[in-house]
Amino acid sequence: MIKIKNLEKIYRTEEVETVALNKMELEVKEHEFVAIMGPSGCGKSTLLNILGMLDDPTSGSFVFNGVEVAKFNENKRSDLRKANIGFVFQSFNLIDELTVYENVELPLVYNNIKAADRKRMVEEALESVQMMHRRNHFPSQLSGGQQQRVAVARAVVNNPKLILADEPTGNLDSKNGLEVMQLLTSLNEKGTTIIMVTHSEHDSRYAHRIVHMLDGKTVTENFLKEMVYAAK
Amino acid sequence: MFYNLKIAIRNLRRNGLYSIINIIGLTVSLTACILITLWVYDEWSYDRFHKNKENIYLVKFTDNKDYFDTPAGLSVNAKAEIPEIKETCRIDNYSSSFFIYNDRYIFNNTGITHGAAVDSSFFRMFSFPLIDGNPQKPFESDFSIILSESMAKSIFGDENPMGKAIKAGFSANRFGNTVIPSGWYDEYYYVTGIMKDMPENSSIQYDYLIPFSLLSRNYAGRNNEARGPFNSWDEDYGTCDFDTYLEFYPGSNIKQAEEKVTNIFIKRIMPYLNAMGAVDQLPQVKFFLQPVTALHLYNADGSSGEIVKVRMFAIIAGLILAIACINYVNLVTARTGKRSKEMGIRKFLGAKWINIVLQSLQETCVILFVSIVLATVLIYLLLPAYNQISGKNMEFHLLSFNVLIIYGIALLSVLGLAGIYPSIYLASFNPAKATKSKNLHSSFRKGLVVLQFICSIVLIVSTIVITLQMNFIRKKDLGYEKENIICVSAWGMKGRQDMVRSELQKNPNITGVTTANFDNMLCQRYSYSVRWQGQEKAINFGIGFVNFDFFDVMNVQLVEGQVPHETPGEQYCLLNETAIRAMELKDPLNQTIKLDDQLHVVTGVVKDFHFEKLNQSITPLVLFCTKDYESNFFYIRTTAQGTKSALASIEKLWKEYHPNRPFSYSFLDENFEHLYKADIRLGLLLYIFAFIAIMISCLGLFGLVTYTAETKTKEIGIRKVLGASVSNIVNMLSKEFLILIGVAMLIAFPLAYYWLDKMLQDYAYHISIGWWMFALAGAITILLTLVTVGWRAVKAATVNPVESIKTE
Repeated sequence: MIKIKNLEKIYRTEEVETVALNKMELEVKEHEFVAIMGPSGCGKSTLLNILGMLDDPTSGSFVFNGVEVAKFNENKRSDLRKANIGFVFQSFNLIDELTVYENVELPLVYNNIKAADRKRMVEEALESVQMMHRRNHFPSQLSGGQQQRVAVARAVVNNPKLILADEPTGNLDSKNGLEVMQLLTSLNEKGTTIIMVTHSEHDSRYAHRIVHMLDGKTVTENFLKEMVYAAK
Repeated sequence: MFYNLKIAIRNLRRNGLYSIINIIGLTVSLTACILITLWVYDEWSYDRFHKNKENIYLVKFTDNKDYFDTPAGLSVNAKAEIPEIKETCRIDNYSSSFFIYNDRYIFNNTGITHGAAVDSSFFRMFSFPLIDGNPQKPFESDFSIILSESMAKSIFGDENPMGKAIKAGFSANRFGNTVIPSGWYDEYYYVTGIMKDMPENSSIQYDYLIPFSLLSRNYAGRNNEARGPFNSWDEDYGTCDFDTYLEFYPGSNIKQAEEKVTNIFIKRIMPYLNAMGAVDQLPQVKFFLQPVTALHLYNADGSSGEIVKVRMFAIIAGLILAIACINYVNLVTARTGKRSKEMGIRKFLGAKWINIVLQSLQETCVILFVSIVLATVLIYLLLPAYNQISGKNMEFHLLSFNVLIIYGIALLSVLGLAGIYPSIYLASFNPAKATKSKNLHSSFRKGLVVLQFICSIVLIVSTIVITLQMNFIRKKDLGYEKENIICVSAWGMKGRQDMVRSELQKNPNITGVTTANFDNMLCQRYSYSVRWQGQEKAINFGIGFVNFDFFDVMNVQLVEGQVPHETPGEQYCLLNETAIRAMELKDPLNQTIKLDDQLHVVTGVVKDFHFEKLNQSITPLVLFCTKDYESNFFYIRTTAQGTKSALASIEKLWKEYHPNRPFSYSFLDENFEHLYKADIRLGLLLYIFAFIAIMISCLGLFGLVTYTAETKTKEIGIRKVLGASVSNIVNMLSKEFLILIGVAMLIAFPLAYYWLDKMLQDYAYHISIGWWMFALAGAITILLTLVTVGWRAVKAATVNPVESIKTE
C-alpha cells in the first residue's frame, strides 16, 4: 500500500537546516498495523505528516496504492487524503464549536456525501465507538477518553483505507488508552491499515510490527539497543 | 510609569499588525476629522469677528412668498423711533467696476470689483479695521472713496493713496432704479481711507466703499412715478433694494423690535401706495431681524440654509472618528483572550484593577500619540490640495488655539471611546471563566461592526445620490441651448450694438449675436403690481430686456404668438408659461397689461426656461423686446469648431472699443458649471470622506478577520486535514462578516432614504431615489468586504495544516 524510497525532508530557516527525514525507506502492506517508535525529534511526526499527505517531501519517492504522490500538488493530495486516510491525534483535535455529531460528520460534508447517507454513516461510526448517546454534546463536555473515541469515529466515518494515529493514547489514562487501542485493533481486524506513532511500549505491542526511527532513518531494534548501551 | 510605558511599547511592537491597523485607522480618521473640522470651523466662523456681533442684525421682510431687502428710509426712521437701536447702516451693492488713475485703467484679475455705498456708521458698527483714515468719519465728502488694501495696491502700487484722485466706473445692473448713473465715471473720487482686505469668512465683501450720501445727489433725477411722495433717499419707501443693518444696545428685545420695524414700514408705505393709487395692494408684510452671525449659514427667515451642509460634515467627521474608535475597541477586546494569561498573572502578583486599566490606557496613549504625530504631518501635506478642492483658504497651525481644541476633543473622544472601555474590559476580565469562543462571538463586538457599516453604507448611498443629483442638474434641459455661447460685456458699446452685430456676423463661425440686460441667462426678480383685463395683482416677476433675435440665438421656444417686429415707439412683451398660469390669463395674445405703470402688449408666450439657479422652480417671467434699451451683455453663438476664430473676431472688435481694457469673455456653459461649483466641491469632498470611512471600516474588518483566522488557526487546520477545500475555509471565515454587513444594510438603507429624501426636497428639480442606488451601495460594500475578508481568509486557508495543528 505504501512504498517509501530515499525520502528526505529538510526544514530550512534562515540560520539552520534541519534534516527531519534522511533517505528514509519504508514499506507498509495493506491490512498491516505498524507502530513507529523512536525518541523525540527523530522524525516520526514528519513521516506521519508526509504519509497523511499533509506535507510534501523534499526529495525521494512516495508511492501510495501504486501511485507516485511525492510531487502531487495540494489539491490532488487533498482529494487523495479525503478519500483514503483518517487521522487520530494525540490531542484529539475536535472542533470546540461543533457537537460530537457535527465533528464526526465534517469529513463527510467535505466529501460531498448526501445528507441522508451522512446521517447513517455518522450514526454507525458513533455506534462503533459507543458514543451515540453523547451525539449532541460538545467536546468540552466529554472526558479525554470520550473525546478520543469521537476522534476515532471521525477518522473512520469515511471508511478510509488507512488510519494514521499520532500517539492516540498520549493524553489518556490507562483505562481510556486501553479502550482506544482495542478500537484501533478491531478496525484493523476489519481490514483498515493502521500506522501509529507511539512512545508506549505497551501500545506498540498491539501492532504487527514495530518500525524504529532515529535521526530521520529507520533502524533495527538491535542497533537501538547498542546505542543505548554505548550511551551508558 | 516608565516601566508601564516600556511594557506598553513592547506589547505594541509584539502585536505589530494590530498596532499598525490601529495606527493607520486612527491617523487617517484623525486627519480626515481635523480637515473636516477646519472646514466646519471656517463655515461657522463667518461674520463672527465683529466685536458687536451679538447685537448686529440685518433687516429683511417677507410677503409670505419672497424675501425682500429694505427701503432706504427705514434706517432713518428706525433709529429715530426705536430707542434700543444704537446704530444703523445702509449698504447699496455694486458689482463690476473699473478705476482710472493717471489715464491708466485698472481692473482686478476677474475684471470685476465689488463695491458699495455705505453710511458713515459702517466702520463703527462692523469690525473692519482701517489702515489709514478715520473710522468715526470715514468719508470727508460725497466724492470720497475708501479702498481695500489690495485694491489700493493695484491702483497706486507703492504710492501713498491717501488724498489721491481717481475716476471710477460703477455699473449697477439693477433695472429701473439705477442709483448711480453710469455717466458718473467722469467724476473724481478722493481716497480718504484704506481698509484691511475684508476677511474671507465675511459675508460682507467689498473692494471699495463710497458714501451713501452720494446717492442722494441723484434722487431728484428719478422719475416721478418711482419717487412717489418722497423727497430723498432718507425718506424713500418705494425702492426696497438696500441692506439695512441695525445695531442694538445689549439686552434689547429683538422680537419687539421686529414688530416696531414692521409698524414703521407700514406707516410710511401708506402715503406711497396712496400716491400710486394702490392702497389695497399692501400685502401682509412681516419684518424680521437676522443676526449677523447667521447671515452665512441660515436663510433670511432663520430656517436652515448652509448650516445643513455644515451639520452634515460635522456628522461625517464624528462618524469617521467613531469608526476608527470602533476598530480600536474591537481589536483590543477581541484580543483580550490572548492576554488573559498576562492579566491573570498580573492580578495574581498583586496588580489592582486600576493598575491594569492604567497599563492598558498607556498603550492607547502610545498609539494615539503616534497617530497624532502622523496625522499632523499628513494634514500639513494635504492642506494645499484640500484647500483647492474645497475652494477655501484654511490654515493649520499646530499650536493655534483652534487646532489644539480639535486635538483635545479628538484625544478625549478616542481615549473615552477607545481607551477606557477596552481598559476596563481587560482589567475586569476573569481568565478562569473565559472561553475563547465566547470572547470571539461577543455580540457587543458584532454590534460595533454593524454600527460601523451602517455609517459607511449611509455615506456610500449619500455619495451615490448626491453625485446623481449633481449630474442631473448639470444635464438638465434648461429650455435654451447653453453650448457654444460666448458671453461678452457690452459695456462701452452701448447704442452701437447693431454695428457690432453686423461686424461680428461677417465671421462665418459666428451664427448669431444677441443682447440682453442680464448676465449668464440669470434674471432678477422684482415684485410688481400688474393690471390686466380689469384684474390687479402683485406678482413676483423675473424681468428681462432682450433683443428681438434673442429667441432665435438662444433657442428659446415660443409656445404661441411671435417675437414683435421692430416697431419703435410701442412697448411689447412676452410672458412665459408660468406667468400665464399665475395670471390666469386666457387668450394672452395682444392683451394689454400694465406693468409698473407702463402699458405693454403681449405678443407671445415663451416656453418656460430656467432663468434662476436650479434650486428655484421657474417663476413668472416677462421679457421686453426693445432695441432702445441699452443691453449690457452680448450672447454670441458660434459653430462648434469655430470658437477660436470667433474669439479672435470678438477680441479685434473689443480692442477697437476698449483700447485700454483687457479682453474678457466667458462661455455660457462654463459659467453655468461655475454656478454649481460649491455643490460640485461639496460632492467631491463627500466622495473623499465616504471613501475614507469605508476604507477605515474595511481596515477594522481586516483586523478582525485576521484575529478570527488567528484564533481559528487550529480549527482551520483540522478542517483541512478532514478534507476542507480553500473555498470551504474562506466561506467559513467570511460568512459571519457578510451576515453582519447584511444586518447593517437593513438598518442603513431606511436611514439613508429618510435623510436623502429630506435633502433632495431642497432642490426644486431633483432625481427620485431608486432601489438600484441602494443595490449599488450594497454591492460596493459587499465587494469591499469580500475583498478585505476574502484576501485574509484565503491566506489563512492556504496555510499548511501541519503548522496549524501544532498551534495550541
